[in-house]
Amino acid sequence: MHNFDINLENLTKMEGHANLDVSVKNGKVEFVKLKITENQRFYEQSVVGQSIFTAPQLMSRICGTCSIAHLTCCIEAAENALGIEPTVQSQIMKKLAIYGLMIRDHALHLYFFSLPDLVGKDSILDFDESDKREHKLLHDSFDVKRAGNMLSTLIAGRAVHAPFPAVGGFLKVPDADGIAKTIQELQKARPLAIDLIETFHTWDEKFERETDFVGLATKDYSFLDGEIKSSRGVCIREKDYLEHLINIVIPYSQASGFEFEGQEFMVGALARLNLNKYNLHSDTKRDASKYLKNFPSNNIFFNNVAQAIEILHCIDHSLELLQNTKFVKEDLQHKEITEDRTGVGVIEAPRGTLYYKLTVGKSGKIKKANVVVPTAQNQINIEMDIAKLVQDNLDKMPKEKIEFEIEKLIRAYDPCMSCASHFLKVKWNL
Amino acid sequence: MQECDVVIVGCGPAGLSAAIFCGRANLKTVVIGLPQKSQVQMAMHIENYFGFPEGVDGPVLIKKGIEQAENVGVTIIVDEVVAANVKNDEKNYFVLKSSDGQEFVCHALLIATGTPIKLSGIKGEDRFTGKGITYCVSCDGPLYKNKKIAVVGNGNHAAESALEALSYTKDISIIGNAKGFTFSSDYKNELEKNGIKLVPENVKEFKGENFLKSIILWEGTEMVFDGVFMASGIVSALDFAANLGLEIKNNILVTDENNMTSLQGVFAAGNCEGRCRQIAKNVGDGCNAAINVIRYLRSKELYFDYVHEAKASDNVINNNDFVKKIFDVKDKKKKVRIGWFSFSCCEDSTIIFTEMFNDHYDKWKDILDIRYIRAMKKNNDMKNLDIAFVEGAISNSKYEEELKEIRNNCKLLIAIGSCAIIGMPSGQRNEFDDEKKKEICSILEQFSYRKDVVPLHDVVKVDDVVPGCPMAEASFLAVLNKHLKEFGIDA
Repeated sequence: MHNFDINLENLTKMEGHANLDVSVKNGKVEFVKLKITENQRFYEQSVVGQSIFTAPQLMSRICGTCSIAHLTCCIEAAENALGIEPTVQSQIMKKLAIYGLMIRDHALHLYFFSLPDLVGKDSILDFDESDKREHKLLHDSFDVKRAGNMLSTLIAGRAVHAPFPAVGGFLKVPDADGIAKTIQELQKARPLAIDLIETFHTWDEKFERETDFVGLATKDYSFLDGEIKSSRGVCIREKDYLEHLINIVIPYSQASGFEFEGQEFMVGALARLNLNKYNLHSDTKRDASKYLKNFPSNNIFFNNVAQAIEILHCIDHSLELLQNTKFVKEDLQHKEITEDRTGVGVIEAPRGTLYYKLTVGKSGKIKKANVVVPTAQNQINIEMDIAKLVQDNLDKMPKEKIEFEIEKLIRAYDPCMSCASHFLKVKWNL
Repeated sequence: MQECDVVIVGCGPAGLSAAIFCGRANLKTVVIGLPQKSQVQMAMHIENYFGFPEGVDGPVLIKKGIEQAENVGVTIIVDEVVAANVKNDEKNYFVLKSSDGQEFVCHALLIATGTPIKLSGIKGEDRFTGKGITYCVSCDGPLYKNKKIAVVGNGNHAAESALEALSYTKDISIIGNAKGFTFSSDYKNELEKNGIKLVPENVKEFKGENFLKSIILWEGTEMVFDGVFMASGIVSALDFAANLGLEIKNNILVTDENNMTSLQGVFAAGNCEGRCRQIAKNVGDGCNAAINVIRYLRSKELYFDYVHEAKASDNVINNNDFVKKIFDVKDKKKKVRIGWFSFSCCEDSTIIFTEMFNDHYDKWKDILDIRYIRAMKKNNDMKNLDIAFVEGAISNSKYEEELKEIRNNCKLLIAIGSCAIIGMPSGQRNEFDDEKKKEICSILEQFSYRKDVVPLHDVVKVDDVVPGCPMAEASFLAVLNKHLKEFGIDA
């Protein structure tokens, strides 16, 4: 009978800090505890009392890697609270800003965090430049990330804590020279993205467990607007999200967990592809058709393939938008606040659905804030997957190999502990 | 046959110290030796070597020395030299042969073979080495303060050890040689004057359980001691040196003030050259010998010209210029060891840093040895860093301890971004009103947070900062390049 404990301290190649404890007694997994050890920074409390117009820049500081997602979602919630209808150009620019984020963030995860597992090296820094394949992958990573960075910088002013997006519009619009250079970088990155899809598609890794996939199903796969759908057939409006998400307090973790409709679920690229692949850009559907046949899928490692396909989609749609939009300077929209108002923002961040709910008072100051981040939504699903992975492999591999398999599985989720830890349990009484 | 500028024979403190200097001066350097046979390797714990207040284990010191030498391009061959010959042509050179048949050709030879201890072969010696039996009075004498000790051996070496032990205890016996001792008359008088007991009997066995307790003499007597110092004779590892016709006196090599032996191009350092048998002295010896090796090769135009920056034609060099020159030589192999750490923050600067690889990888791969970056690798090592970059504020005592550990393991600590420099925005809770504090207090208690979130400089000394939220790329590059220069790298 197997009896052992697994204690993984400081999981690596992911955003933020987490530990993992697994206990196996008499051949059965007794518990799995994914302990998010990031200290909370209490942004939901900090933002209370701040102006609704400065709140998005503050909330951007929740997370370095997906700051543009927090910025965009907070702006959306603020605009909804204020009753501001974004202009068509503003929506296009929000999409482009998110596309820049997705390209860079997914590429960071795929090339820097997951690819070393695939190649059998500890780090991308260990890749052998005299090996043709490793040399290509290493330098592809720089070119693809650079393209994402350039797009974010062109539209939002910077890839991290971007200064241009604001409540009511954008402070600056892209210039023709910048657009031309960015188009060039995106075109250069496109074939590399297709190679990346192929690389992860051929990775012989599989872990399946039936679960629910949840995400925002946008009509143009732009991550911004739509209805929240689940693979079990639930379809809800953005503003009703709190009626379907149940906050689970996890005593050993500094992050809350969530259930959707009373069950564990997964959000992220795999969920989006499973729910919404038909709305990908037509060029992406054409060039990735061979890979798209694999979706919907329960294989968590296909989250990597899904992210690579999303990079391609972001490149394709960005090229179309940049080539066909005439950007003109627009004034920021503004609305007077005459009463307490609540607004909801829901977007797809790189790791899954991100929810913001803000209440603003007559003074223009935030009175209440609620944020639900993707990794917190995935936490229970990750733990249940690990339990199955360990149980399934008890008789097949030694403990050390199981530990490595667990780390690979967690990395496939692309968790972000920096985001996950900064929220108290939901206390929303509106 | 391998060509190199210098072969160093011996893999102890003198040899490795010399190797580090030769490697850094871009001499093609090969060390041949058996580190496992170094006397330091047998030292369980060294407490009198500079820079290690807690002491350091002998094997650890040797391991680190090898690592440091390899980091500057030195080749370490774990083997014995079995033959050495001089070839006299227009440029003198030496041919050495190792036991596995490899041949090495060099223009300078540095002998740092030490004085490997000849084990007595007495029953129990192996078992109690480091557990009551030691080989160096100056190293281990303090462990036996006012205790009863024996020096096992014969001749002046045993007498010298016994007299040295007087600094620690008066109860000293020399045991050895049933045929009588062979001390010189000076030593004999000193031993007598200081009441050192002489036991002219051979030792049969060392006894004890976990630690040495007694000595059994051949005639059967059991003598109880707290500790034993072996001074049963030292075999020189200079056998091969005899082939070269080097002058040897009292079992040590005769050298001049430049560490050169009687044969031009052959140098010696460490115990094989005599004087006190201490690691500190031997490390210094290695350094001195190496500088003289470098000077010799360059002034005689004898080195294999691997270094373009220091041409042999520059051989009219006065001492100061010369020393400056060898330290200024641009070492293409040298890398600065860096670590990247994060505490309470959004890791925005970590993201900026990873993105900077897009444009700086080709340069950084040659000059940065990234030893610790949790975001990018699993096998991380925070020991002996040149520069630690630290992002984030300190919000609990665990982070505080980790930060102190980083500080203890780096030469420079650089605070990255606003949270590390001013504690904000991570420290917003410091400013919360009572109502907000009440909301968060259960979390603070449950996970043992600090009362306040503080910037790094409240906990440790910070040497430099890169401001911004996130850090600005240009500021980071400026700070990085400034400090790389201090480590001799012109980025």
